[in-house]
Amino acid sequence: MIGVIGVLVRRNIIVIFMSIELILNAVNINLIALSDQLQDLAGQVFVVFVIAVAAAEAAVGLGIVIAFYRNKETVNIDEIQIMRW
Amino acid sequence: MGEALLFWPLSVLILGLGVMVVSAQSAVHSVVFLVINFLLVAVLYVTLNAEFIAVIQVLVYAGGIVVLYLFVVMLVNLKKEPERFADPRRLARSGLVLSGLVLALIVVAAVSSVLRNSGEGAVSGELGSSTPFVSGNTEQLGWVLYTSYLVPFELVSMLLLVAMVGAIVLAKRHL
Repeated sequence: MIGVIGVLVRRNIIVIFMSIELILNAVNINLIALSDQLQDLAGQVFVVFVIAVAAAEAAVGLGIVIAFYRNKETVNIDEIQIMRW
Repeated sequence: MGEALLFWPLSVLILGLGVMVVSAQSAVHSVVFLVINFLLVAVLYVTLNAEFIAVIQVLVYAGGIVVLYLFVVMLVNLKKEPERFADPRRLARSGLVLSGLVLALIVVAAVSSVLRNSGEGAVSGELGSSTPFVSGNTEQLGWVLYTSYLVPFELVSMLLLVAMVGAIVLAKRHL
């Protein structure tokens, strides 16, 4: 919930990525809590996958941020308007 | 009962730190709050009988992803200097408070370990210190991961490889 608000409110794209990490963490907590409740290990396996996908997403997203900052000198998403090569 | 006693302050701290991550003015402060948040979530995983995931959380999130964020913040956010650190007394005061907290923590840990050792001295003396502590959670998780979920596991490894190559290509200055 907080992460969703962060995605919607903030204008710094790095903080938006951090908010996405918060959302994924909330999902992981829910999965592990349910895996503990139901005595089923599949939840923890899914958490491993979610962590891997989150790491990949962070790497690629921050690579995009660096490439963009090198071109446009900003991390404000209001100023990111073009989507051309 | 003890678990609930640990759960409620932990969840309040996690939620408050999430609010602080989103509402912090500087991105560096957000990253620091994010680290503390991830570590507290790892503690929450331990209370939920998921020790392996807690270790993975500390290694991958608090160790890897946050360092990545810090590098990007360092590369990107160089314009605004925080003015509050112009006051040298503020740093000294916060340093005093932090060192006092660390001292109190060390004292509490030492006293509690001494008390526990004096209480269990007779029991641990005959068992010896070489008794290995095996959680079992890691073995079960590995078993499930490498049998029932083998194909998704391999797909995730391919995804990580592709993401690594993609991030290098994106961040490279000249292709």
